[in-house]
Amino acid sequence: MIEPGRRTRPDWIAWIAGLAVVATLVRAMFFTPLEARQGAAQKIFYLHVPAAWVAFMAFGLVAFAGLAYLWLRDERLDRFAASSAEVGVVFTTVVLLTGPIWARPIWGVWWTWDPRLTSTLFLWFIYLGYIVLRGALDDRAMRARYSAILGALGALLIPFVHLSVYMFRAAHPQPVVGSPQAIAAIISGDPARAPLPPAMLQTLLIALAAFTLLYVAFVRARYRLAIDQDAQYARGVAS
Amino acid sequence: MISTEPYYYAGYAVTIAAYVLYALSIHVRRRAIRDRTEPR
Repeated sequence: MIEPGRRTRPDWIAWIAGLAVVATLVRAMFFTPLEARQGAAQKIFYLHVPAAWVAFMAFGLVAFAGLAYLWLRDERLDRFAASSAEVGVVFTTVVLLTGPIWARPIWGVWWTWDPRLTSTLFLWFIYLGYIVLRGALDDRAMRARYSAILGALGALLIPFVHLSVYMFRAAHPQPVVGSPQAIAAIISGDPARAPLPPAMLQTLLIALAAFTLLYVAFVRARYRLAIDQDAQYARGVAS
Repeated sequence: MISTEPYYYAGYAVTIAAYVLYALSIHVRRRAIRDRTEPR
């Protein structure tokens, strides 16, 4: 049990996550081959794709925790949802920053109103709104209820963001490893069918694991902050 | 074809900056609460 306001022991998960991210960056920068057509800019892929995966997972968990809160009324679920939403916004911000930096040399423009890009921007705004909503409501129970509903509704956009590259003629590349064909090819282990050369695929999978671990570390830290904030609020109400 | 290296470095720099700044923001917010609650 974490007591509010108390200094806590070193968070080993945070240290492991930090080291995993540094190791991933070193591998991506120095030990992963350059892609022939895009050159160095293609390496942004190892940050952009895992950030998008973590953001989708984070918002999916916000929805799940929010719905569970509406059923069980357990404030730990509300704290977790708030933490996951904030971390998800950070990861989506990374997606929205790294995407244009890659697009400028490859597409020739920083931004285009492509369905994938636009829907990702909408997703970011929805969860930014979620954070603003939480900041605007003082009543804890009302705040938890309203944000649970917004969090669950916002997550309905996630499948649309994912499928937008298939549903519309889009500029954004289709998933390299996220499509059913690519997953089947990876499972088959046949190098001729692999969606990426092995060194690149390994770097991507390592990056997915490292950034998922970073998500866990961030949510744990943010959850502790939420405990402190709730304790501070309770003291304010009591005094 | 133009050199894509500056974009590559920029992509890595903004990503690292975003995560470090977020970690710092959690630390600073917790610290602010702690400073208000702990006796000096």
